[in-house]
Amino acid sequence: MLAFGASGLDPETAAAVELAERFPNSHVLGCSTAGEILGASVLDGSLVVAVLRFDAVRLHSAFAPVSSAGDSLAAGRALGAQLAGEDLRGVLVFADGIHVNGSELVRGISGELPRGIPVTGGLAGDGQQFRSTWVIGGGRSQRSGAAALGLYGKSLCFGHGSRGGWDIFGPERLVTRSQGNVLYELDGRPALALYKEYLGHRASGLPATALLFPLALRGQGGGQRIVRTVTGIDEDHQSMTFAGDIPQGCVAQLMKANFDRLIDGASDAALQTASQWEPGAPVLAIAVSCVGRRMVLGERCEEELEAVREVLPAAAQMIGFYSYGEISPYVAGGGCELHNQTMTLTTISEAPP
Amino acid sequence: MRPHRLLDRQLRKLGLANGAAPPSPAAWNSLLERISATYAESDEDRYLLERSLSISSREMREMSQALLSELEKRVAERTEELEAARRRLKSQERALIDLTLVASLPTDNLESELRHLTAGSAQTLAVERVSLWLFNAERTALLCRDLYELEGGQHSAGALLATASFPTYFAGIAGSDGVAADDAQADPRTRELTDPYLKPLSITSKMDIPIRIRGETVGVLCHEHTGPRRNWEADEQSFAIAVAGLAALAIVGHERWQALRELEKARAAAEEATRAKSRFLASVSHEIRTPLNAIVGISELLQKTPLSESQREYVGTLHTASETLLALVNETLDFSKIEAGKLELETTEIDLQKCLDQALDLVASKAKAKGLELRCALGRGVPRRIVSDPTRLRQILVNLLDNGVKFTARGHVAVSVDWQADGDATGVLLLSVTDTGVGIPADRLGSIFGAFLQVDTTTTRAYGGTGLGLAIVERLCELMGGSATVESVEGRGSTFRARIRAALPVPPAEHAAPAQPSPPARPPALAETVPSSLRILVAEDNPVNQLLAVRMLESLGYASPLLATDGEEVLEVLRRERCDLVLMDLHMPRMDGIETSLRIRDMFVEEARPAIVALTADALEESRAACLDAGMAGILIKPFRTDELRSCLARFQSRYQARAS
Repeated sequence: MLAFGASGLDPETAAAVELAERFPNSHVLGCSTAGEILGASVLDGSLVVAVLRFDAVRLHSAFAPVSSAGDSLAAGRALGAQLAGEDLRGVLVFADGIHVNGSELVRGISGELPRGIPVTGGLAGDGQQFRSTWVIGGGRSQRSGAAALGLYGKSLCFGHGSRGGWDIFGPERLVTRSQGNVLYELDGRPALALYKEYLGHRASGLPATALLFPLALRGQGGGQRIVRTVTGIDEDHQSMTFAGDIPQGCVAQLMKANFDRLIDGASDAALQTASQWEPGAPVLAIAVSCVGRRMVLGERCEEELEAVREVLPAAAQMIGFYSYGEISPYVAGGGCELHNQTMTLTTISEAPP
Repeated sequence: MRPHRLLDRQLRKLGLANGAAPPSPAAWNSLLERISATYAESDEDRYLLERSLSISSREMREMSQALLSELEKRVAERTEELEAARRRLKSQERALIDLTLVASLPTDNLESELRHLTAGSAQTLAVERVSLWLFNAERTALLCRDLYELEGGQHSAGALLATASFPTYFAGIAGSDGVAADDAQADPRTRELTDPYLKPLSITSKMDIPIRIRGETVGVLCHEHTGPRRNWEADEQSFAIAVAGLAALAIVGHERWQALRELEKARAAAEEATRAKSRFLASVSHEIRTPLNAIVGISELLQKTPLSESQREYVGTLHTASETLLALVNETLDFSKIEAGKLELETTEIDLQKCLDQALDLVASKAKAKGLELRCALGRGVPRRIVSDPTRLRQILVNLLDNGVKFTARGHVAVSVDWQADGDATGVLLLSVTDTGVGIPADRLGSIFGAFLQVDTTTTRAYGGTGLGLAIVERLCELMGGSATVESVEGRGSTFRARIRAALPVPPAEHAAPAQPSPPARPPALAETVPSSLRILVAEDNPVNQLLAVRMLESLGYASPLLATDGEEVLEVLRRERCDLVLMDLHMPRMDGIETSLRIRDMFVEEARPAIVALTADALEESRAACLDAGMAGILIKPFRTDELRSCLARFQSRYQARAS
């Protein structure tokens, strides 16, 4: 049973707890959101639930508490170690979006699993407040921690896709000074000043407009780009804070939003999963989209859900949430990453016996 | 029409199917809103892209300007570096030229040269300390021969480094072209020196070059830098190597100079020894000649007195023996003079015929006594007069003739003279003396001109003589620019040839008369007595020599000569008596011959002045020159024979007669 609900719901007493108590034989996982997704609709202040039942697929769930970001790697390793097992086909993970370093968590889990096992999911949201989230796992809902579900069995079809749809502009620049998720200098120049220079008159809307201009990062040797959303700026230090690490020595490039392309991106993510549905079998799609996309798209955000649904089989059910970070391999079989500003889609179906 | 994929989605979203009219004005408005938003978004995109492009273009411009100015800066820096290197090389070149001049002119002062090298190197390379060290003889230590300190401009010396204490350092120096250590205190090649030497003197960088002579390391030239570490440039190392080479050059030059000075000393000592020998010989010969003069003269006079047969025989033997002894002394003296390089040649005009006659005269009596024929032939084209040394030319002829007469028992001794012109006024005079004597064995021909050599020792016993005659001939010929050779057939005779270079007088002399037929008509023997009115004064302190001279003069027809025993007396007599010729002994008490001659010169006007002939046993050239300087007209070397005296007097007789008339 998957449940995603408003962060405002009291995790101790609300429906989420009731769910866990009512279905003691089920694995119940979920988290708070920055908007619940059900079908092609975006809801606020609700609880959306999906129930899955399998013929042959086995399930195993685990929970790891995380009291500070520094625990994230260890928590990830603990989860990975508990879930590793024969016929593991995929792992769903939902974690606290405030205290957990998603990048470290994913690294910890993946490190304990055989290569190529996809880990998907997302970080819990708190509307647009960024104060407090909750996670359901270990038979109850929790303020912090990470809940994971392992799915086993040859009959399981575990698909995933992830796309942003952002446009890159300006030259690549070297991250010359950074610490954790705080960026100080690009090419030896103050990062914030440079950022503002590119934005021109749009810089007057900072920090709100920063959402529209994330950074694309990649290693110096090349490799896949990942996207980092700006979560804060510091005029005194001319620094910028991001929703994920900005390692020194990486190459960064400015990105900008274009509504139509974002929606197109969601459609592309769905297309990535197309080869992984079991034909004729019921399909559940779990959509984890970024809170940033919701803020950018505004009232048009349902359009990206519609774009996804148009690609999925007509009978497919869709549930999900707007998150503080999406988890997925960028391509099938690739390493799992924490993403920002993407539409991340996981499809689950079972081959008939 | 198929609309754009994104427009198609918008239409579907609004329920506006492709090709259908809008269902309501609201839907139409909403479509227009969406299209307008898309345009706005497109404008925004364009704005950002253009902005990005303009930033990039500005950055590229800035970057290119930065590159350009960086490039200009580097070019300027490099140019300055090259210019500095050029100046450095120029100053090194100048210094090397100066130092090369210093090092390549050997002097006795090696220290001064080394000081030039250390100071020159220190100043050129701007190194605080430059020192030059040489190994001691045992190669157990390096001794500092000079240290120049740039700051104070001071030289010092004397420090010592034991080789055993720094084996790695010394091995490194000996086995390389030098050690250039930028960080000398840490460099493994110089680290041994750090605590005992480098640290106390604050030396940070060190460049040491071995000094090699004929491949052997004899020392080291050290450049020691204080202050911040220094990077030794390749050109600086080359310069230091050149200076080390110059040090080697200076050392070798100094050694040669010293060797030369030793040789010079040895030569001076040898020359002094030769002069001493020569002086000794002259003085001994003088001491011998004085009594010998008496013996020769008295025995000659004795022969002319009435004697019994046996007395005549004894006196004859006495006379012959004394003459032989005299010849021996003369030859020995001559030879030693030649060997000592003391013989100086005269150059005066010679009448060749006269010279030849005088030589023949001297051997005529001996040849006659042995029944030998003397022949003489003057070749066609032989000049009548030449310029040479008459005494030595006669000596060569007399020695060769005497030699021929001595070794010939029967037959003849013939002399021929030829001339080979080799220039307008020069030529070679060829004298050949052929005898029909015993000849010389072929194996002895090569050494016949050696000193004190005769064919064998029995020769000396059989024929007498010193064995110096031919050696003197050869040496004289060489001195006169020619040579002496011999051809001989044992038992048949020998031919000696003497060649001497000579000049023709100016204006060139006429050629002599055609060769005379052989045997030549010997000139009539000079009369035993010459009637004369010459008034002669004999100045001689030795009573025996005085008596001898008087008797000889009497035998030649000059009766009752005037007498004096010293210079004072001479002057006294000359004031009283008319006198034409003074025979003046040089060594007299109170006033010697030279002094007396000078007084005489002052006493008389030239026309009234008596001629003076020196009598001396001292045959050295200096004496001869002193005599001529004092105004003397001739010299008779004691002991002289009657014949010699007669020849001498004959010259003055004719002059007197010419003057009288």
